[in-house]
Amino acid sequence: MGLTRFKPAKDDLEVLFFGGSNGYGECILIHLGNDNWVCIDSILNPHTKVPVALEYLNSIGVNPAENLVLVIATHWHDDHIKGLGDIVEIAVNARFACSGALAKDEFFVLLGLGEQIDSPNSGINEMERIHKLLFNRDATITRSVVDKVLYRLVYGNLEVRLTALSPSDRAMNVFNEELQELLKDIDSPNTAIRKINPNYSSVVLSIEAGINKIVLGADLEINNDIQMGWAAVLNSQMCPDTILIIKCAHHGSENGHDESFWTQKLLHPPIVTLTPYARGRTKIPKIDDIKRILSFTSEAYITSDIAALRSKKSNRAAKVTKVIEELGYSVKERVYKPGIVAMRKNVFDQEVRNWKITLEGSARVLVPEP
Amino acid sequence: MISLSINDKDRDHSSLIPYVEKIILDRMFEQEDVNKVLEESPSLFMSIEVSRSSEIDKNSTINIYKSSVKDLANSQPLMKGLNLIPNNKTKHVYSFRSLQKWEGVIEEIYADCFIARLTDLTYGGADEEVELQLSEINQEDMNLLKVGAIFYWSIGHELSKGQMRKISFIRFRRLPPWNPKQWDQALDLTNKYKKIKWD
Repeated sequence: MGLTRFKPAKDDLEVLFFGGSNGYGECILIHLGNDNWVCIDSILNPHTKVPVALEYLNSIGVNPAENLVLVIATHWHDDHIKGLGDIVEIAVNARFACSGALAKDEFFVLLGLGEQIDSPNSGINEMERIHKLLFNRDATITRSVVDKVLYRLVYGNLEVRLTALSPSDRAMNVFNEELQELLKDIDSPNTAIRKINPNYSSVVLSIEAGINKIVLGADLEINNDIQMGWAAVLNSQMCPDTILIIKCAHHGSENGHDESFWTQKLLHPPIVTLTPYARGRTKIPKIDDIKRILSFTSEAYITSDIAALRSKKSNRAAKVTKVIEELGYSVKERVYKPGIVAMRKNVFDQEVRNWKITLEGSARVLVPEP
Repeated sequence: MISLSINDKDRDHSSLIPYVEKIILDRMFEQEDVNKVLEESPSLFMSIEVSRSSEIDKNSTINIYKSSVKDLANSQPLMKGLNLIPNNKTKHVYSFRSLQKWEGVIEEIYADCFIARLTDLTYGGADEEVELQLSEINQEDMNLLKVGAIFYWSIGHELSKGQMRKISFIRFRRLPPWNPKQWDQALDLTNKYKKIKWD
């Protein structure tokens, strides 16, 4: 099923979920209305070296420099923000927002050390680049914390609102303690800066436009502490009710799923989307994750194949591939198979489920694994 | 004469050492270069000259005016199990021609193997992944084996004593622990980014 790419109408609410398989990441573009666009996270096309968000906007004739109003990094893992610096660089009129947990000296020290480690695919290097751009521009970073409205747009008699539902104060404190521990472990430039898991600094977002309610789960995980994770989101002041569309947290994994949130806050059946993750032997969603999601709804979409590995890299000389094989190594290309799940609706349409959903590339309906 | 150029006299270049080594691995052991070195006096020493510039990137090159292969052999463990040219009495030609190089980051470690994400330094493009046996790693590198460790992996043809064979070697990044100057540089950036306003 192909996506006919065209600019949304001024009163269309559109959400585009991008995925790249194999842990290439996820990215979300939102048209809030009146040519106001928001970009959340980023995937870098490994072949063109252009962020997919910019490729998409260019393909529909939208100028990111004029129309991107907000760029958000939900957290600093490289599978979420690769190429985000390019977007920040071009989107000169956009504000930049990231987790309030990162507004700490310890994180800035991490940026400084990361700059010297200079490892490819490093989320820290991407964040350092973004900070450099913002410093040179004398720009202000919008702190994303629980219950903070990041963007508000009013047209007609309708308000469209983008709100952060995390991190909580407690989550930020815990994250900072873990950051301090991480810094103690970095004794030399020989190791790429490891991710902090579980991710307490991740920014969950809600979009509300009249009767339309959407939640984007980022990589937030569950926690026994009610002041952390999804329990804190459930108890936040600004968390909407009757949410129809949800982007699963943490690639649909069980530690991103809060049963209370799903049963109490979502319309039933919801519309679900998710972006998979695969690196090494870690592949999510697992079969049980898919079963769980499909127990809530049959209207679920996945942006791309979970993993796609190719044993012969397409742009490598055949004789070199032969030598690698003769030496007994199996080097597999992490094939980049992009997909888009696009959801569009006239924001004034009072029929809550009247969304037009189209799929592009390797995006598909989520079905039980055979 | 090998000629590469790098810049910035005042900065600490220890972080460049792995790149220097990579370039030396690529270049020093090409046959024509080895022959040139052999023709000169073996008492020559390596020097790396740098000059001021605004920016260093890892693709920068290095001026090597003179070099002693013997000194190289004693300075760093460049390759596993290979004898470098020992003295000027023996015209012992050695060369390695690299076919493929990656920079790898270890993602998962298991009892007998590890999985790494590879960035293709030769052909570019999409990332790759590989599962390598722990036996591929030198004993002296085993203490460097941890999630996030950065290594360089080269595959190519080795010519030694007239015999050609395919070889593979893995070398972990072995920079020294942070020195005060590097911490200062990190803290300079910290202080700079602290000035960014948050709302």
